[in-house]
Amino acid sequence: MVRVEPRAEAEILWKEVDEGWIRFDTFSGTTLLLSPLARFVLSAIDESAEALSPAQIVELVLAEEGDADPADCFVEVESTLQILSGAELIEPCRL
Amino acid sequence: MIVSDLAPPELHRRLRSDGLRLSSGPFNCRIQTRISEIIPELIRLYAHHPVIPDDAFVDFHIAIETGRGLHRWFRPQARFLVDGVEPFTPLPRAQALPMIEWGLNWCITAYSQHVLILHAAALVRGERAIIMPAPPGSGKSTLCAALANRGWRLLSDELTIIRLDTGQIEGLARPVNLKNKSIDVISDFAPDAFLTAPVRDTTKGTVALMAPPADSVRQLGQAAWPRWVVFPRYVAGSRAAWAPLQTGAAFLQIADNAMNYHVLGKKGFAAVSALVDRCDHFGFEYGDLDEAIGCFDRLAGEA
Repeated sequence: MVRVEPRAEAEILWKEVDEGWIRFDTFSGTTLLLSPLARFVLSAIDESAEALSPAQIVELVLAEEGDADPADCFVEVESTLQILSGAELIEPCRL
Repeated sequence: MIVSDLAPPELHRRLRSDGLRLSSGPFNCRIQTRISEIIPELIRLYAHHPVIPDDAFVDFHIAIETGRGLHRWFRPQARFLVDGVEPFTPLPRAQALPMIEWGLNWCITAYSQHVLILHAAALVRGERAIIMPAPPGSGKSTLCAALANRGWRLLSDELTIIRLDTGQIEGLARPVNLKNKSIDVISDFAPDAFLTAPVRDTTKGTVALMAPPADSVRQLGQAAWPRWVVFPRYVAGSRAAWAPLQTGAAFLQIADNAMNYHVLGKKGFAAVSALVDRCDHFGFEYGDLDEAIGCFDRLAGEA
């Protein structure tokens, strides 16, 4: 997975809320409500020099949340990747 | 001086000539019309609003004119003009009075990018304001009219104006737009309130305007701090019930009901963020006005 680059003119603003984070793209005007996991995954993909596979993302999540169940974590990450992809914040790529 | 201080002949003269200049909170308007049959009700709707001096700045120069050509007589029409521009297609002349309110709402929404504008009612109890964003048909205006007749100060029925610098709400105290069954409901609920004659067959159904309570108009200059955001929904036969909302869901619903959130960009995001932080957020389902008002009074009393 790789991040979909925002437009150069865009500024991304964040606000923490009860359910996670509000993400606002100043160029498109899009406002999204993201779960804490979605923001973590998005940040991980964003900060990675290379594209990340779902398994690599699960590893990063487990490194952060050591007591999480790996099987549950995989399901959650898969679901989160689909949501982020549906919101066009990330896109699949060849690894 | 307020509108009702002027004698009716003078009000007619002003409306038909240079215009009646009045203040509606943060906005000054000049209203002109030669449609004489709407003048008595228009005067009653704005009876308590301050008249501004002739040299005061006017935000919106509004005129309601008769139709052009044959439409002065054949299927008579009314035209809305602001600053000499006609932004809408004409409506049947019988809709001239509500057209002023719809047109003024459009003016405020289209031209005011120095404030955050929510499609929401707002009322004050004590020093704290409640904001009620809701789509048409949710019972927002009915509940707003009822609260305004039971001790809550009306800030606005339709447009909530939020200052970008302080986050306070500016009052408009303009007429409340009632539709369809809510007209009879409020007539029965508040028999002393002034309602215009119903206007039928508009795009919103039958509409009538309720004059804002005099006390609400007198306190126009007092901005209020938002304390609660409530998303009301009328459900026939239901018991009144609060449903606390998480801040993320509230943020999205507020942004969705903001008329200029996207236009304001970062300022809009900051304004909605500040509003979310400042308020408690609830869904509110109700089926009875007295019960609903009891709930709102208790909420205000507990804060």
